Amino acid sequence: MSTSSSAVRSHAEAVQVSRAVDWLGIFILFMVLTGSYHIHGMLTMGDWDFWADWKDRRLWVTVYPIVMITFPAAVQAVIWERLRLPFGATICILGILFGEWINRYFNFWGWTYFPVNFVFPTAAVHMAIFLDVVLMLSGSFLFTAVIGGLGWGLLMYPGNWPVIAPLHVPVEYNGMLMSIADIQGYHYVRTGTPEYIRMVEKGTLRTFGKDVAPVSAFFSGFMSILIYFMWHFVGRWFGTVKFVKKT
Amino acid sequence: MKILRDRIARWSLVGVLLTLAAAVMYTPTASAHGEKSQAAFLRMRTIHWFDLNWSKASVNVNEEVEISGKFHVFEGWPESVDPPEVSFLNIGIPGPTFIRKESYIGDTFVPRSVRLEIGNTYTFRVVLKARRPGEWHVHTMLNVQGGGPIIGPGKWITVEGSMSDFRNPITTLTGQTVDLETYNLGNTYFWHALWYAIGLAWMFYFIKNPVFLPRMVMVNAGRADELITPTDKKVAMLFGAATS
Repeated sequence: MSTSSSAVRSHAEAVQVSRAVDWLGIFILFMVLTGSYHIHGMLTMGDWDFWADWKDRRLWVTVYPIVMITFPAAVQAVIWERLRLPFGATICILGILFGEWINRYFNFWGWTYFPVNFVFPTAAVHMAIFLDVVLMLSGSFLFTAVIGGLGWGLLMYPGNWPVIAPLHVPVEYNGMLMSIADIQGYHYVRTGTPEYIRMVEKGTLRTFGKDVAPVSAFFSGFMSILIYFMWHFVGRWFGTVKFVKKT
Repeated sequence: MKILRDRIARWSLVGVLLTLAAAVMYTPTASAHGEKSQAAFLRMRTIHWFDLNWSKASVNVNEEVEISGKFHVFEGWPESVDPPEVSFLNIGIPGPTFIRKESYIGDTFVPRSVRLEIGNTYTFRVVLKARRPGEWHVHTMLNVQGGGPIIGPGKWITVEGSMSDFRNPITTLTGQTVDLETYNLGNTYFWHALWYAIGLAWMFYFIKNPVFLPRMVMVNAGRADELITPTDKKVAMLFGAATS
């Protein structure tokens, strides 16, 4: 066999090989994204994703979408441009959630015994599907950056509301008004996260027309547009094929 | 001669591997905490803990332990450490082996950070509830913003029983009594599983067809638009509507 002759002997064999490449490629892409996107997430939005008491209306709603639209934008730039595959954002989020759930269940719960109802990750599949659908229907990265990015930021809080709403039920605890999430944070001792580190609703946002979450959501939506734009070019740069020899 | 040399080499390798395996399998319990790893000035010139009392040395799961005592904020507070204007009374334990039920500085309930004055002496009291069986070294601790954790003395407390017996009931202002160990767990799993299934369904719709090589060939041939069919777009709109 030489480089000028085919590696397969029939069309059926070609189909088989192509399908094997598909499964290998999907597996590798999924695992690489699970690892890399997870590291990126932990270094940026980590604590807001770890703890229920950090899942507030201000910094969680703002920080998570902005830092997490990065890899979806980059992956979309490659796999839509080269393959017209409309699941760039979804595969990123499915990968990170796979890694996060393994981490939360086996490490946070299995090793250090924090209850899972305190350390569950942020749900983001709905945001990812929205971003992918916008790209697929528009066929335009610019449109996806603007509308998709804005939607990415706006959809985060409503999508997670069914999970976190029961934790925002008020409790009177030792004469103080706290939410169930606050009490979880108080009860389940974290020596490495002293209370003053908890960046939860700090600032005067609450006095700005009383609605905190919508303001945070729109701000994160607008910032997500900018980050999508920047990371699209990161994806294009890493997705170059100029090193692939033309045969 | 060569056979002999090979045999010596082979058995030497076996010996080395056995030694390594024996060394790896023997893991003595580590019992150092690194209390003295903090710089001396940090331990000796910041918070002076005294008259400490741990109410029990052995408890069952669900029983309470109280740590009480005093601490003095030393007048010779190091210049290199920020003053204790934002401080948090914490407990040094390896994860939530106990839960913290109450904590007081003086008579004030302190679930949040507080301001401490240099030169003052404060009484404190922390009530813990045993959660996880084992032998735990339980320390007092003060986290100071700009200073880090300032750990106090520790004492071994044995917790007996089973963690499955642990309960953490809380009564909400809506009149419900819930157990924080399991509250909202089923709901959390449900929504995450549902969204994950929807995400997988979106992906499987496209990976059931050829994914990489045929699509790459078509895109390179300028036929990219043929890869997304009107049916694909309808399915996309359905998923888009469902997620929005």
